Amino acid sequence: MVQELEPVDVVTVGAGWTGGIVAKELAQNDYQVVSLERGGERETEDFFTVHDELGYALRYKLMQDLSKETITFRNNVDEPALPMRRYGAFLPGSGEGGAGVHWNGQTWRFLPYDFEIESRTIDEYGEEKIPENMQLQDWGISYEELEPYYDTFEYTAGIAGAAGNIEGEIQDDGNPYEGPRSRDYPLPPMVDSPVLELFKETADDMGYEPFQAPSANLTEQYTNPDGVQQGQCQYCGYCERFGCEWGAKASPITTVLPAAQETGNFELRTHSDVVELLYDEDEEQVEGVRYVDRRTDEVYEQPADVVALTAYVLNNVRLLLLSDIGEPYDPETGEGTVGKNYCYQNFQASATGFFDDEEWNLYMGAGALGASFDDLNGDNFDHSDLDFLHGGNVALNQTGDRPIANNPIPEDTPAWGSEFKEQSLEYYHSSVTVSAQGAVLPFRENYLDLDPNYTDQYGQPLLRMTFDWREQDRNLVEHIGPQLEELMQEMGADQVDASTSLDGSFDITPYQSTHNTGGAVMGADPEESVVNNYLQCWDASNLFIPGASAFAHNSGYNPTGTVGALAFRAAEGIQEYLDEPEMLADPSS
Amino acid sequence: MPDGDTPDGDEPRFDFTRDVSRRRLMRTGGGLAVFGIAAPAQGSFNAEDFDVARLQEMDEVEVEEQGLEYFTIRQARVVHDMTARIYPSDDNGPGAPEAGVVYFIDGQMNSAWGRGERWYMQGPFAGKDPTDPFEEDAEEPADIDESPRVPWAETNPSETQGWQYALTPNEAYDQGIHAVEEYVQAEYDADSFTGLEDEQQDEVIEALEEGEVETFEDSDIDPDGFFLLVRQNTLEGMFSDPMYGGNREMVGWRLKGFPGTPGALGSYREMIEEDEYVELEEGDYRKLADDVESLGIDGENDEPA
Repeated sequence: MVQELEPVDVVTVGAGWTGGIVAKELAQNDYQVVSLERGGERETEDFFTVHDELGYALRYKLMQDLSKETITFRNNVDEPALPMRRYGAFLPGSGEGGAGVHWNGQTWRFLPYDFEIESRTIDEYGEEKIPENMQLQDWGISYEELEPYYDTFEYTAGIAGAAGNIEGEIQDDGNPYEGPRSRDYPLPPMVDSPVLELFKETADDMGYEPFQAPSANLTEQYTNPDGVQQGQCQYCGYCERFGCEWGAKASPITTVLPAAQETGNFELRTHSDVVELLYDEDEEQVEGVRYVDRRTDEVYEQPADVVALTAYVLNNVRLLLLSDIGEPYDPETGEGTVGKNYCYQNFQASATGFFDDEEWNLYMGAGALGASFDDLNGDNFDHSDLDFLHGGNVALNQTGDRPIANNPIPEDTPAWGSEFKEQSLEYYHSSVTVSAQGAVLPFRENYLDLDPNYTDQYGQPLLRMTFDWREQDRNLVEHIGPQLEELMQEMGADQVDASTSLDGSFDITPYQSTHNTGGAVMGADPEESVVNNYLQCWDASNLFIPGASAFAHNSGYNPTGTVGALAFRAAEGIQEYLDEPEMLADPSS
Repeated sequence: MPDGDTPDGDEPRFDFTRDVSRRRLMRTGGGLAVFGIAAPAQGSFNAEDFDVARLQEMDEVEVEEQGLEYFTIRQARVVHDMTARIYPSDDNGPGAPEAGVVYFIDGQMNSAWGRGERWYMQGPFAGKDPTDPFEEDAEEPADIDESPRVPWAETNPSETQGWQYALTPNEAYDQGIHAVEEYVQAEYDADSFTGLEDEQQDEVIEALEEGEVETFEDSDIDPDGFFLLVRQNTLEGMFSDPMYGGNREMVGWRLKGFPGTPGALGSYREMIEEDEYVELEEGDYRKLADDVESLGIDGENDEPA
């Protein structure tokens, strides 16, 4: 029997970065907020014994339980999709704080170019530059409009970095290609390590503009505008896939969730698995959500004036499809919007150097300790004679080389036996990789829908992912890869193994990045987008869907900075909506 | 406009660091060096208490029935010998036989991971006909077929689709070991993989890696899939925390010069900037049990949700 609960002002589906930001902002403005989180509670103290590579990094303690819910995957529409039975390419989190607990902390702003990518490409190169099946589109918001929300996210999280552009003034130490920011980062950048210095000196000599990458690993103790204090990073080398026992990696559990709790207007319900949004198609409203308490199997309905769909990208899209909200995207006709423009990240261009006469303390590190340059990202270089668009941020990251996952061996070394052992011991402290974080642009045949065969623990269809690399991706790698090879040679490596081509299809087996994007994209035209530039759903004016699902394409950076900014934008939209219930942006096409 | 763009320096209302340090003071009896605040390097970890065997004096573990949780003694001996070829003892120091990797893998077989409890193991499986899990709704008219019929038995998973074997890890070991033994009996004058010379064992592992072991035809896993599983578990058993049964006396970490948990060196914040490579000494290695003991949090850390 379904139990109907007392209505609240706002319910969020999930309590990660986006849910936490929405909850905090609304609760601080005296609205009653409930967050429904399918996983359990988490706190900093849980991570006193976190330095366990097997348990966290390889047995995925902080990730969602695939036996209960996963996705299915295929490269193209002619294949049967099969379930992702075990973890590989990406790692959706679960539990309070979501993936914001186990992230590395690399916190970027997208380029001004990204938000107007279609119109800028046409202006600069003409319409014919965009391949026929590439669904490039503007985001319905400009960088300048989003800047204040980026700023708020960075000051809430305590981001450490060197500004490259403050109100149009280019700064010496930062990224000269970034959009103008209203002020500097709240914290100074992370420290240098010898290998980062080598990267930056070499890149500088070669004419690139390197800088210390922005980081949510806090460089100083920091009290944020909500009065929450976080700790200082100790460079212990256990960030990605781990939680931080210092409270020194900005996460929802160390920032927005406690600030929401403090108001007295916020309730977090863990083990609460939302299975459907209650949609009234005639009214174009959601009435609330239905969820299952995983501990008791009781089913509840939580009515709310506003629903914020703040789960992971993939679950946002799946819940829309399961709830019959919006028109599912059809790759044959190109019509429909829900599930459209699924994108990912292309890390294929890389170069690994093996140094015979160097040793570095590479087990020390931090998730966002890195040096990078943006000369090959966005439209920061001329694409007139190139057969691809966009590019990627190039970086050398020192995240902490833990010993199970790091056994660097030069090409042609056997994968086992005495030679493997000798080489992997030899180069454990003497091998580093530079890589480009390639943007992935939307293509007609890359999309998300519901699987016809496989179901979750409740018998509901799994989400089906159809995705493959395109010529765009291959050409990007062939352009950037050789430049990374040259960079690594200049750094002095005795052997360089470079990846300069992207062969074959996207493979869901090896870990690549948890940078899944799109499927409920934002825009100015309801025919082309699911949400407007307040992340408000065109088909349900009291439904807001922040998160990377709103990305119209994926840029050459980690997504979380933009996810955070969009969540603050959505929170503002929700307040405006509660004040005066209406669509906050007029559709235009 | 979003608010909150004026950070004030007032007394914080929540303070995670203070919380951590208070607990540390309460529970560690002054062992501040654990997190490196009071004494950054080496700290109070006492090298004299470091009672591990010297690397070159380590012995191969005995594979004995009473120490096993999952494998039969025969299975364990095969796995022990396979790991010994994958990460051998040689001029570069001890390997899987000394680290006790077989006991690590045996423990994993009997864990939630080995049972595939957090893997999606619902059918249908490519290459196998399903037992009609989708026709349970018998009242549905037969002519309504919303889903395209997939000829599952004739379907081969693409290599890009990841693990599609209808097997949990421990079932994969059961079938894999069985197929290896059958192969050895067919190809060599031996009763078991364990009866082969080192070079012959290497041949068998090469054949697995190449996917060319015919006796796997009757099993639900491919020879190369089995090889990848054993290789991965061997590295895990070499380099995971000793609490999992491998990496005995932190031998893998000492081979590699990996200090374990950062407790041994405390914070790396001061050290990471320095040009000098830190040559670790015996007393610098530290396992989770050392952290747990010095923090006084034994048994408190439940499995995160």
